[in-house]
Amino acid sequence: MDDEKLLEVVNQCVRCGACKGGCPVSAVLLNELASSRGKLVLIEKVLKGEIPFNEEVLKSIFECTLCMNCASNCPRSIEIENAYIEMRKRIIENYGKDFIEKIAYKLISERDISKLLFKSYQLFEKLLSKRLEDDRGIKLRFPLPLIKNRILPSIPDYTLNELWEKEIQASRGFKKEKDVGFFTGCMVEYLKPEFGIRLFRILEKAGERLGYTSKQSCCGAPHYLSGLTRESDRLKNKNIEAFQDFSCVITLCSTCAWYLKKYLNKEIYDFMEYLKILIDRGIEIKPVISGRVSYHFPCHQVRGQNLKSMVYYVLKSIFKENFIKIDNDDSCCGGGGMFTYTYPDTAFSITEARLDNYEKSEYILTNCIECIIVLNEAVIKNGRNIKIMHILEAIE
Amino acid sequence: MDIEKKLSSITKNVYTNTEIRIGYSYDASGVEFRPDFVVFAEDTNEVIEISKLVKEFKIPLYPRGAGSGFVGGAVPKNSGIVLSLEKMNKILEVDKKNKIVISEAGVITGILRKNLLKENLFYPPEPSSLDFCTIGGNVNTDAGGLRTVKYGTTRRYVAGLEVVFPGGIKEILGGKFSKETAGYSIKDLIIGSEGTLGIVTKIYLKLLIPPEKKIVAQVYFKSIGDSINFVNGLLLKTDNITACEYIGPEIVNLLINDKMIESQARDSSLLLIEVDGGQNEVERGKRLIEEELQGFDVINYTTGTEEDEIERIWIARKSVSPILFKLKPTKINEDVCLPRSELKNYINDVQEYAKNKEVLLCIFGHIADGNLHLNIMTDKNNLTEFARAKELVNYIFEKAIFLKGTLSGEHGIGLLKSGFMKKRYSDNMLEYFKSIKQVFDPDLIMNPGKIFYG
Repeated sequence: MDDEKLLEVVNQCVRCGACKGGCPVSAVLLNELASSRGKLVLIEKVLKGEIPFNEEVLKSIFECTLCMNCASNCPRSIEIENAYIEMRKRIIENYGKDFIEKIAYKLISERDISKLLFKSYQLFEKLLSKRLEDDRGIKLRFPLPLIKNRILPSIPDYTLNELWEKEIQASRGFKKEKDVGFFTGCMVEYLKPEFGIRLFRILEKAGERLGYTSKQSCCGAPHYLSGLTRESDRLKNKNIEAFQDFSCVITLCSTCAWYLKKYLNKEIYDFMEYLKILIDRGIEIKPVISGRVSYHFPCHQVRGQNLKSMVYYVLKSIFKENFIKIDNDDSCCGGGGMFTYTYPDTAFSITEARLDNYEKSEYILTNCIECIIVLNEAVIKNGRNIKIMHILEAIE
Repeated sequence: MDIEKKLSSITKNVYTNTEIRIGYSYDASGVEFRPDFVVFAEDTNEVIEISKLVKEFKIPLYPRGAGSGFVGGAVPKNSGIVLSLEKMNKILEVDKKNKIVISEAGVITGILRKNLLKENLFYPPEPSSLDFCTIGGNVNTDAGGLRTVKYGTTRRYVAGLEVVFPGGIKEILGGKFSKETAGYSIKDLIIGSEGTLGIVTKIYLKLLIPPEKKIVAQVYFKSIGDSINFVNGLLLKTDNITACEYIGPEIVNLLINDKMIESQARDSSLLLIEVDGGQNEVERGKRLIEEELQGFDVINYTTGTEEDEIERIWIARKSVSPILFKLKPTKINEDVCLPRSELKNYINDVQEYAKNKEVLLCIFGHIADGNLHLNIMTDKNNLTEFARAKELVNYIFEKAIFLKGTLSGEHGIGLLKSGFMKKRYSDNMLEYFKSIKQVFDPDLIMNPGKIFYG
């Protein structure tokens, strides 16, 4: 986007303030510059040379989860998030940004490096962190840059790649074009490998095979959303190559699904879309939990892919009267990639407020592991009695 | 003497950096004036101290809620201090015995309503900026919205106000009781005063219980006149009409083009009529609507009673604002209020004027209240067209006053309409206004430049 195009986007704002309604960051910071109206005005002034580009502007551009709530409320349907991504790109390219953050992104870019990190962590786990009771997460013994006082998911014994080889040998020998390609996403690959095996079994029940390829990379969305566009493009190309033999692709993460749909020229299924197909085919999907179930929409599922009514249909079909629709079940959890690490206080306040709506639920289901991590952290820290699960864990 | 230091001794939330000052230089009106300071108060005591300070040093003070007003009521015209009440956002007490809620001024109206509904209590006013405007802003503009036909505006629900007058004088006007005949109702003077007399810090609101059921009717009329005659007839049959929204033919055509409505009734006038209450009231409302409709040759009539049907019908209304921007990039958004008997004349007359001036005018509004929204769609970068649009603005107000109507039913006067006050009021009345202001604000430091000059 050149200056002229960016200014055109920004200038569409009529300053009505509708973007403030439901903005998770505005609700916490209670300051005009937290709202898209304020941010767009600042961008306009910077582009026109009326104010210099400085820390305050940078903060305003980055202190946003890119949940797209503002754009969905905007009477002019301004592509607000694209303006921020463009600004982030310019900031990264022209001014550089937090060094540690860049390293963090590098770590998830390369699966070899990620794996090395994963393995070294396993080796020194006891030294670095302690596990919470019931294995609900880990807490670092000393604060690391970007990770202060966080409760993170425990690290499993195997990566998905290893687990797959161990448990799903049978998958070998099948032609890939007949398989449903499994885009694992970084989270399933390293933090929840058992989800991959579970997904394999569900597809098996439906008479389909899930195919795994170790050539895949991060989907590139975290990089794209942070302004690391070139890195994102590189990852895109790797994935295009990795999945060239598959006719369709399924993923357990709505952000991955949203981003893959932008560049992978195949049928891409958000897991919820796949469940809808199974339900419509008459395949019985049973809940494995009993109790009042509610849903938390990942931003990239509800606003990114516009799947709200479809998700309700799936949940009602599976959980029947146990499914309770919650007010505001589509507002951001405060996750948003690096947001929880770079603006931890704002992020945590958003997450806490998020849980307030779920007083009557026993389970919150969702379709994004990042959402699960942050919601779970707030549940533990606030001592709430509610379980956060991926929809996949709640069905068979 | 350093004002910033003094302010900082009152609250930690004092800002002088350019970026924040830009953030508080505008509202939804499109006008922009940069303040010297932006201060966020966290409680009434901070407001009192700030009020004392500005009085001592005669600094203009601009109280601000969400900055969602259309008339520049919140912009700092003469520089000075913008006092944001956004951080005073606590719901202080839900008093079920008195059916009253006490709220700080910065609470978002929609959030207040949702919280009360959880307790089976109902705060009716529903301005369309519900999800982001503040209750303090609503009091200061006497906000209305879609459902004022039955429920009235904010004023009807304000039982009491905590107000800080210049010099840090805190008073509670009214209270948890529902009637008062002791003395002048200064509370009612504050409501709609656009922050020109004092700072509203807390609000005591009377509450109702939520209606059990709703029905919404959607009727396409062949002419504007038919739709207005229908409303006048219906209101002689029943007072239980919750909302009655008019969408003019120029907007109906846009909605058809964009497939936002199923109907193909081009050039028709659309009415959306809502009735709420118990089962019997809703059924009776539907019957009366249908009875009244018998006198009219309408193009299409449908009703919805289920939640999703109702939602679908209201979508037409909700799409109006976004869809207008497809015409032109700049919207001049005015509202006038007229006797209902003059509406037909008025609409035809201003549309004729707009046509002659080659300016696009789109009209919708709360027709049962005689309250019309006139949206002039133009392009501020096209200087001659924009100038013609401004002429239309003048005409809109002149004609409204000529037909014994008024300058605003909802948006208020603020900065942008203050020049028209001379047309609406006699010199004597304007002098009364100014004298009243000076009783509370002799130094003219409260939101100066608004409503009337001075």
